[in-house]
Amino acid sequence: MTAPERVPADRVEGGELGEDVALVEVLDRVLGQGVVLVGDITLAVAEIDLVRVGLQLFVGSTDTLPRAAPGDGRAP
Amino acid sequence: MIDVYAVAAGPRRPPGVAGVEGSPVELLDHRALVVAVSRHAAAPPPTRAAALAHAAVCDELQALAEAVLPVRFGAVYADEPALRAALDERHADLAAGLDHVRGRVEVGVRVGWDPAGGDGDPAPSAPAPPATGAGGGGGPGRAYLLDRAAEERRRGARRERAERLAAAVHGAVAPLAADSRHRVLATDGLLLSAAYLVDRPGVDGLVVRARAVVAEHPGLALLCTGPWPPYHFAGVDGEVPGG
Repeated sequence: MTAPERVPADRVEGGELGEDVALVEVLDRVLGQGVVLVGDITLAVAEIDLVRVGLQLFVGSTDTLPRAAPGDGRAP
Repeated sequence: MIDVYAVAAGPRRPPGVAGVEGSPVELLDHRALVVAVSRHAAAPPPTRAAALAHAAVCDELQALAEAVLPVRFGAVYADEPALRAALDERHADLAAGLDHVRGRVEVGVRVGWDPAGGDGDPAPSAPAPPATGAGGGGGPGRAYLLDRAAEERRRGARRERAERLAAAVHGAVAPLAADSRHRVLATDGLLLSAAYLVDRPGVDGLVVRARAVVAEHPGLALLCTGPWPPYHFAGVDGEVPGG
């Protein structure tokens, strides 16, 4: 089973990671990064749409991110 | 068809999670490499669920193996010989890549910002008044050109400020990492997107450092994620598919 400490949401700095953001973080990696081997049949059909939708979600969600580290107490 | 998840060193057993379409994941030995795969009657459709299943397998392998190089989602081979031929072609790169990431994990860092300023930086946020009155005798063509010039200056100032803030954050964090990838985005929401390859015990220290440097710049927001399998460090230098 997947240990909870490896779920990205648990490592978010200063707040909860929205589901959308967690999804984007995963998709950004599995679709856009990683080893590329040759000779494969690349399943590219949904790739671009998934990433584009995801990145838009992420940009939208940054507004709700905490403005300072927790306990910092500094006014923004 | 064979779907490939990751190339690894040292996993003693297959991951305990199902792969794409619920298929069992098995480990194939190929020379010094171990490859995590699942078998399918036909190429599995590239759905969001499939991509997430792929990620879950790589996550699990990260916990079981000494080193993992995640393979980009969507690599499907007709049969085992085709897969082994592809692995042979990249064998040296893959072995070197595994050495590079051994005992290390990836931490994601995204920094949000307010492009209009807000940290006391000089940033021209208010649009300049229409230039038609200035100097007289302008005409719409001249006003347009002045507007364009002002817009260009704003863009330049914004880019410069973004580069400076991003360098401050990246410059503070990068020395704690064995390797890094970063992009200064300077979009409306996002200043910097970065990934750091760090020794497993160094994760907390890196996050603390990132938090500290971001706190020095009010108006910046920090999002740290991970630890991830080293997706950003699994590629080969100079190989950027699709540009």
